[in-house]
Parts: sequence; C-alpha cells; structure tokens
Amino acid sequence: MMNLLSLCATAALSALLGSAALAEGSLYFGLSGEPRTLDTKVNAGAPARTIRLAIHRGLLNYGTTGELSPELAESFEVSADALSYTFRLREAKFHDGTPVTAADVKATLDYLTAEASTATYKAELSVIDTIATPDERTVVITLKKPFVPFPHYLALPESAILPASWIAANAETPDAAPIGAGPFRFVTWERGREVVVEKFDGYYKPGKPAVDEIHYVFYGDENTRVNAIRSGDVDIIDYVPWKDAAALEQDPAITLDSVGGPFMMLQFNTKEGPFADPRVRQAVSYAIERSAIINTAFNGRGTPLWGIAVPEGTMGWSEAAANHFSHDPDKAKALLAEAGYPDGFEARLLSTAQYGFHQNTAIAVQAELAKIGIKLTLDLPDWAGRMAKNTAGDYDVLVAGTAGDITDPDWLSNFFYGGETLVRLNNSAWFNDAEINALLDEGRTTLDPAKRAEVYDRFVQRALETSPFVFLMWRDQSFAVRDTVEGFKNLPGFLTFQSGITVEDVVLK
Amino acid sequence: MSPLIALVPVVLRRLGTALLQLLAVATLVFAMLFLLPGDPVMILLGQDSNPTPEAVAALREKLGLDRPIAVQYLDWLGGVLRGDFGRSLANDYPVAQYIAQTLPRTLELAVAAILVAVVIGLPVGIAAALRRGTLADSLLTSATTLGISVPVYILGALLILIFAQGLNWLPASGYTDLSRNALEHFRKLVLPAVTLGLGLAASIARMTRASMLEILGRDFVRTLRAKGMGETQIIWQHVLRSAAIPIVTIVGLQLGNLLGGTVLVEALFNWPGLATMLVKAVGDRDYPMVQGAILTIAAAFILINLAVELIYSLLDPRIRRRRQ
Repeated sequence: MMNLLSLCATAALSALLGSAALAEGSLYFGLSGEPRTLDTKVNAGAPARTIRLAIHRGLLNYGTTGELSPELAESFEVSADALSYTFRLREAKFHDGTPVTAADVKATLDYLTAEASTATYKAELSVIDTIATPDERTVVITLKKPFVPFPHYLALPESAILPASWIAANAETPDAAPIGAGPFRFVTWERGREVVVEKFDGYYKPGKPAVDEIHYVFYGDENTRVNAIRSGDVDIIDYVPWKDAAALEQDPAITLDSVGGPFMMLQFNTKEGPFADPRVRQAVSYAIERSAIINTAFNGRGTPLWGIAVPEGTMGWSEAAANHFSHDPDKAKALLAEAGYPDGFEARLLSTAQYGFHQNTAIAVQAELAKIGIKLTLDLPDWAGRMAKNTAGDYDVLVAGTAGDITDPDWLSNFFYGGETLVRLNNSAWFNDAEINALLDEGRTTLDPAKRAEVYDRFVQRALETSPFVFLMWRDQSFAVRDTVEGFKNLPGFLTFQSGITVEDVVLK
Repeated sequence: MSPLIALVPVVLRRLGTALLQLLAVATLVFAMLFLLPGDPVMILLGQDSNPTPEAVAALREKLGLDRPIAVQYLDWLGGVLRGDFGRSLANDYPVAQYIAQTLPRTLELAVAAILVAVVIGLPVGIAAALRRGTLADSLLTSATTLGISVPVYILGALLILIFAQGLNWLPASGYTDLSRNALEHFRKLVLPAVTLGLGLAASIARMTRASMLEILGRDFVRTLRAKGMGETQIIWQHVLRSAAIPIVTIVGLQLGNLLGGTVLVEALFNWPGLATMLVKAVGDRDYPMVQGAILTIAAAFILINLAVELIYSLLDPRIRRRRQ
C-alpha cells in the first residue's frame, strides 16, 4: 500500500510537471505483429522488414519511387555477357563507426550463401561464383551463369550488408545487437512490446533522417491497432483492416495511404484427385464471381483478377491474357463434366481462422463453388497450423494472399517453377510442368528486354493452359498515417511490404 | 492451540495438492502443444522461404526438437525443478526473464482492477441497501446486472469509443514505463483497469447489498436502534463490519478469474503483460514460452485460492473448526 501511495504521489508530481519526459521527435509506428527475429538473412514477414529497413541498407534497395536505387553502392556496371557485376561503394559508415568496405560486402554475401546458411534467398544468390575486392571500395561479383534479375535479389532487405566483424561475432545470435548502415541505429527490443531505434548521425544521406527515434510498437490485434491510430497513441499503422478503411478515410486527422499490390489466389494439390486435372482448376476459375470475394472479404477494396497475377505494364501482361477467364458457371460445369465430374465432388479447403480476410475469402469461395457442385469442407486452423499444412501439401485447395518478392518478372519462378522441392509455401503442391520450367529458365537468362518480354508472353499462355493457381483479385494494402507525419509513403505494387524504407524521409510536424 | 499453528497441516496438505495440480497442468499443456499442427522449426526458418531439408534438420537438432517427446518433457521438467524455465525457441531469450518482465504488469492490471471494483462496488452496494425498494435501488441493481453480463471486450470497446476517441481524455492502448513517464503510465492503466474491474464491481455491489440487508434485519440492529444509537454509527460500526466477510470472500475468489480476464483485456488494450506474451508464444509454437507462461498463471491461480481460503478460515472460526 505504501508503494501505491508513493506511485500516486509520483503521478501527481509528474502531472504538475507536464509530460515533458516524452521525446519531441519520436515517431510511433504501430506494427501488425512482433517479428520472430530481426535476423537480416531471413524473410520473417512484413513487420520484421519494416524495422530492418530502418536499420540496414544493401548495395541496392528498392527506393522510395519503387525503382532500384543505389544505396551502399553508388553505382554498378554489368559486363556485356552479364556475368560480371562491378559495384563502386560510396563512403558510408556502419553504426559502430567503421566504414563500409568491399570486405564487408564479400563477408556478407559469403555468409548468405554459405553451405549451412538458412538465408531465405540463398538459392537465388548462390548463382554467385566469385567475389573479388580489388580495392576497399570496389566489389566485382562474377556469376556462374547469366542471371538477369540478380540486382533485384541484392536489393531485397534480406541482402543487407553487415560488418564483417559483426558476422564473425554475432552470426549465431543475430538479435542481440543488430548493426547496419541504415538511417537508424538499433537501441532496444523489449519482447512483447516494441523495438526502439534512434537517429544515426553518420548516415550517408545528408540531412537524413529527420526523426530522433522511432518506436515500433507491436499491435497484433487489428481492432486495437485501429483504435491506437484513431486516438493518436501511434502515428502510423500498417495493415489497415479493410473493414476499417472507410472510417479512417473519413477521419480528418488521418490519411489512408492505399496501393493495389498483393493478390489473393487459390493453390491446389495437383498430385491426385480432381484438382490434378487442369480442366477442373479452370472450371474453378470460371465458377468464381470475383466481386463476391472482394465484397465479402475486402469491403469492396480490390480489383478482380481474371488471368495471371502479372502487374499491368510489366512483362507478360496483355489485355487478352488479363481477361482470359470470366464468370461463366455454364462453362465451368461443362469443363467439370469433360473432366469426368458432371455432378461435382467433395474436397477440403484450407484457410485460417486467425485472419478475417483469409477466412472470409474461403467462405466466399466455398459458396461460389457450391453452385457448380463442388462441395468444400473448410479447414480453418490458426496461422501456424495453416502454414504447417501448406508446406506439407496437406490440402486440396488453399487460400493464399501474397505478393511477388521482386519487381522483376522472375518473381514468378518462386510460384510456378517445379524443381526439386515440389511442395512449397507458394506453389501448388506437386505442380511441375517442363515447358513452364524451361520458359522460366529462359526468362532468367535472356538479356535482350524485347526477347525477354516474348518469353514471358509465352509463359503466361502456358500458365493459363495449365492453371496451377486460380488468381482471384488484387487487394488494396493500406497504411494509415496521422497528419502530423510527412514523408512516409506506401510503395506501389509488390513493394508495399518494403515501404518501411521511407521512414528516412519522415518529418514530424 | 493457536489458530495459526492449527493451520500448518492444512497448508502443507494443500501445498502438496497444489504441486500435483501444477504437474498435471504442465503435462496436459505439453501434450496439447504437440498435438497442435504447426512446426516451430518451419516458423523459425521463415514463412516465405523454402528451407532445404538439411537446414530444417540442423535447426531441429540445435533446438533439441529431434529428441523423443518424453525425453523433451522430462528434460524440461527437470529444468523447471531446478528453477530453469528454458529459453525461447524463437530467439533464445530466457523464458524466466520474459516472465519477470511481463508478470508484474499483469498483476498491476489485476490489482488496479480490484481497486476499481472495490471503490465502485462497495458504495453502490451500500447505497442500494440503504434505499431498498426505491427507484434508486432498482436503477443501481439493474446496473449491476448489466455490469455482470456485459463481456469485457464489448465493455472495453465502448470505453475506448467514449473516453479515447470521443472525449479524447485517455489513451486507447499501449503501455509506458513508470520510470519513463509516470503520468502516462497511469493514464494508460485507467481504461484497462476499469474494463477488467467493472464486472467485479457489479458482483461486489450485489453481494454488499444482499449482505447489508440481511444484517440490517437482525435483532441486534433493532436493539441498537432502540438504545437510541445514531443510524450512521449503526451502519458504519456494526452493520458493515458484519457484512464484510462474504464481500472479502467474493473479492478473493474473483482474483483468479481476473487473471483469466486479463487475456482479453491485455489484447484489447495492447497491454504487454503475461497474457499477451502467452498468446504470441502459442502462435509461434514456442513451446518453452507457452509452458512457462501457463505454469506461472496456474501457480498464481492456485496460490491465490489457497491464500483466500486460509484468510477466510482465520476470519471465521467456524470454518476452521470444521476443517479440524
């Protein structure tokens, strides 16, 4: 009781003094979850990337315009045979004060591609043959074979450059004391609550950053997250729930920053049963009225997808391919009959009860497919359970919502390529089409942009014929930003999950 | 025999039972975790990666998850007996440290909620009893019925809507360290504590009203009045004191339930306590963290109930005698 009294006294005292203890230049960023890890080499989801993009920079990054931007490398050249990349490093410092050198770049890339490495993009970066460091500020990377999207993989947050000394000391405990060359220095991570970073005065962009510190506060519950921004507890939130978007738009103190980018799709187990037949998968595509999903699960905030999820204006996109399918239940039934299922069949649909939009998409799909006689039983474990079943191929149909990793069309490989591991997170289990594999290989190695575009046109045709996925819609992805914050930007398309990089431009009013 | 010494065998027997209960909880939770689909190794290696089977096997071995479940269980249990709760699978952070950080926040929330409950519940109950049968009594009694039946997530949402978003008096969520800014700390405590405490306030008010009415009808009250004692003195010195025992019991018994209520309230207000930690650990399939959190909550629950029972028998000799 004494303690409580003294607490009350303290409270009263500080009430008199006002809330001067709160730092002036602090940005409060409400994140949709707490990262498992801040390990740079692992893609541990959007919140982890958001934080890491404040702390770390790579040779390249996707900059604030969505284009590849030179960061720790001030420039790079590609040899005519596309086998050799020469990076010229700028003068930059790590948070421990040491300069970023060619040796650090080599140590980082060796670390990512080491035999025992668990780096998410190890396979893609393993195209590196040798790394030469002729001087402190020059790195020459030679590839085993031409790999056109290579710079894009270097631009991912998972390819951030680390000090060689840090790797030697901390590779086993990456969360203990992260060090990078980004605009903010890691201060603390209080588990279950927040990560705090502070302004790094030695950042290589003059005058940046403008904010003294950022608190990345974890708000796992979406309603709590929305309440937090509405009452001003935080300045920015990510992953605005679609049901709340309209209300936040109308709030005069808040701006809703929305882009279309991620997509929703169905994955199929193509090993056996009805869904092994491409005609059945196409029937599913014809059967589903896309607006039913957009309205049921996303409050109307999305755009129908009637082809392959290739963004407009990129290789492989064409008017015809983008409108290949349509809502045509009769055609769907005819295709089902042709495949030997005139009366439909029963199957399991895997989704998750943990996220409303996943569950509601599943419910809408179930209702649409019931109309052509496909009776789906919903399987709705929590997210961890759903992921386990996904990567074990334990599903007939699966609701997925994701985006490409990079803006180069090679992002398609991760989804469509067969290869050695036929059951993966983002593929349709057991799908393996020789023609598709060959086209994706060709796309990776074709240098001439016009020829490369042709390759992806052919790829899209084959992808429509085989239809391993049924793409449903592009969904809006939004941040809500209070008007006291200037300079934060939701990056377009697939890069929405890398928007965290723009905190270097944030100014508090 | 002094009443305290007489309690010793009771306490020992109850502590023994408590240990068995804890062992049962620990075993049950361990078994349940392994029945859940979801693999901590795959979660750790990253959702968007396609880890090689070698990397998966290596991490599984490193975390000791390749051993038979019985071995893992006995190993964990042995650690707990030595006071070692193990380390988080997700980030190697000591589980005991997590608990040491988050448990005080949950307890603070629970204690604040009880204060709210007593400060609101007691006066309301007394007022209703003294105005029995009037409009005020009906209003207060209906309000308590409402208070007991409204779930915390609806009550909490309403309070946020009114006091955080409408009037903008209080923050809707979050937590500030006491050392950083004490005023902010308590401002952020108000809404969750009220949300958690109002239900209990309603229970206390009803119990106070009933208990007061029962005592007010007793002969000794009539005697006191006949002797010419003032009504205020009768109420405060005699009636309330006699009515206190059932009220104290209610508060004690509800403490355990409050701990359960914190799961929802912490989520609603983003209060970084033990319950928040537990929910996240389940999502990550972070077995040692889940085990440690559940064991702590179970131990708190059992200890509180034990303490309440002991205090109760100290207060009321009849109960003690029955025990013996």
